Amino acid sequence: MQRHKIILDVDNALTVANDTDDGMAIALALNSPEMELLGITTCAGNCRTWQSTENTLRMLELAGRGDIPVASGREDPLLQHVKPHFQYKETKDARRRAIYWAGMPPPIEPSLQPSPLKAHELIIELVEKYPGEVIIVKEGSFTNLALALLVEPEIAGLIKEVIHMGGAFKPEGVDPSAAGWSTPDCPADVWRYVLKFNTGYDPEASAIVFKSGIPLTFVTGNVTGQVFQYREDLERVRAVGTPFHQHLYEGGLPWLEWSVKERELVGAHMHDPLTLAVVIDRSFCTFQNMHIDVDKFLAGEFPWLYKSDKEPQVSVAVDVDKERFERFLADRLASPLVDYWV
Amino acid sequence: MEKHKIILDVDTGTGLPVCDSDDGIAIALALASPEIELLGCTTCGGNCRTHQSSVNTLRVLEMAGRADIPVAEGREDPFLQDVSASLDYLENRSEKYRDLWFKDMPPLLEPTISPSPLKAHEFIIEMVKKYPGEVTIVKEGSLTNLALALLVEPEIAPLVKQVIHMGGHVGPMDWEGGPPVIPRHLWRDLLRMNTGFDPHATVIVIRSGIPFTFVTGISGQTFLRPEHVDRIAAVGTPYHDFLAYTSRPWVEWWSMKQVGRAGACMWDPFTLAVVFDPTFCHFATMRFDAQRFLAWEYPYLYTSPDSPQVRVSMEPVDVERFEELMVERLVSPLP
Repeated sequence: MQRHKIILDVDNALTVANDTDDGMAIALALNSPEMELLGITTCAGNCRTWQSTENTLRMLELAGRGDIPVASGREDPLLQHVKPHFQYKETKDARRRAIYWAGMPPPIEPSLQPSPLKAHELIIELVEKYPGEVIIVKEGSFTNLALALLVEPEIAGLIKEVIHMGGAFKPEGVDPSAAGWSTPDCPADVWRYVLKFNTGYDPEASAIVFKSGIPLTFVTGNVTGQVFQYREDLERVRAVGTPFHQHLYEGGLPWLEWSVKERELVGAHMHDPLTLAVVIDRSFCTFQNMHIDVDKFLAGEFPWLYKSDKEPQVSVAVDVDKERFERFLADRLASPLVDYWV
Repeated sequence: MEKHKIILDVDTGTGLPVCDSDDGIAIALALASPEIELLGCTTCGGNCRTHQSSVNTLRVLEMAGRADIPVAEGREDPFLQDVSASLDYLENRSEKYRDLWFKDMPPLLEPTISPSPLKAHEFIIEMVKKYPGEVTIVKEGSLTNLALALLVEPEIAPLVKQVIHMGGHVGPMDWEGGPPVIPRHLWRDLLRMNTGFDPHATVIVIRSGIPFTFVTGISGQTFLRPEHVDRIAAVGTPYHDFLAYTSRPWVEWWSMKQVGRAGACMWDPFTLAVVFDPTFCHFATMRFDAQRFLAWEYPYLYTSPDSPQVRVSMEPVDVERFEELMVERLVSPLP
């Protein structure tokens, strides 16, 4: 079977009282024979870069996959714009942790070490090693890839595809930038930042990648916001019984409970696993080609993603087979880890 | 005497038709100044393409017998800014007047010395780590190379002694006031040469906290004049001849006849000189407003208690004393 070579770039907050979907995406990658996980690079977003690195190393250690390099990326966006969301988030995270994570045992200190390479160096090395084959799955900001392109512009022609969790387009009647997008826990002006998440975390880095000519796919918030992980899914994970699965359960459940109680959702959002899953099966989503208006994007104006023939073009997920994907994800996560690479 | 260790980052046009030759003079001045230890040159785009800067820089060094000085080539393009309009204009202008330019010039040396195997940003990182706290980076072109070094290796920021940059503009901007020979729609781009060539890089460097000095357009009050070129030509060595015949058309035909100036503006050599003699002009401390700068709104440099703070050159400029020092050094035999 042809395996897709991927590099996963994550802001993995599993265990630090924030979004668990990067962690779930890593678990999905580890348990998918269709994918060859060449390496993981870490960035900031849901949490700080060093936390993303630590959380990822812990998962790999529990999974017995110390062979997969984890390379830490830059902490700050290229231009070091001041972001309100970290100040806001870390206060809320502390409160959330005290309530929802109180019942969980503390996670282990990983003894695995990160790669001596920086994130952008690992990207350059792997892309040069496998020209034309590597798919970079950007579950966080574009900082690491942009830096790789600045240092080594020739890799742009060697990257097979970039699949990015992010962006938002304007379906009929819905303006994602409108104040209506607020949730009980998060005021509208912070949501505006969160909505621009990933893509908007480091706008200059995003623009550098948009203009690079690399084939781009966005799995947008419009679509990922429709798929969830449910309590019964996590109970199935726990039932597998291995330390790795126990860790997934202990990290995932508090976030899920918080999402249900305080965000009034039906479960935990699974943005990143869906983004990864389209590598395995593109038909989980329906795609349309759209134009990225880089100038509008950098000016912070909506909409910057819309139908037009102009370059640059991006393939945008506009719909999702919700039930099939949710079942697929639940089944994969609740399977024992099989060593497909032995 | 304490020597200033410097890296000269240049967009050397010397040798190209109708291309600014002040970077080349700055290199020559550095070689002739006992206060300066030239660790190396890095090249960037601006007056011409980066790879052309490299060739032109290598040629100056080879003619000067200084093949020991590394030349590390930088990134061709700015991070995001599209500079193709101004670069195309400069290239077309260069081609158009090629024959006129080379009319009185012997064929130029094809450099035989090679550039460094390191990229510009790698060279900067290496030198700054080797001499922590000692290196002054003189940015006679865009800030791309240093910004890339800072992105790749943020820990060098506190190790760089200072950045002295030829560029910046104080106060409101007069977009209409340029020389008639330059098309209006490009005057804006050319005015913002250096600082505005890669504006995102500029912001990255200034936000890094490295002590930063803008040596603004007032440096252009100093000139290389025809009588100076005569004095250089009179020395008689191949190197001095080279300096003279590559400068003369830029001084006489372009700067004086076409643009109407008193000679060729010596922006870059002046910027270099304030490294070892900051009394050639005055300096004030101002705020660099990154947001206004990125939006092309003027003024973006003004007095304010807010960060980041930068040092900015102020009038009056000691034109006579600088010009005399520059020419004395340019005519002296190479050490």
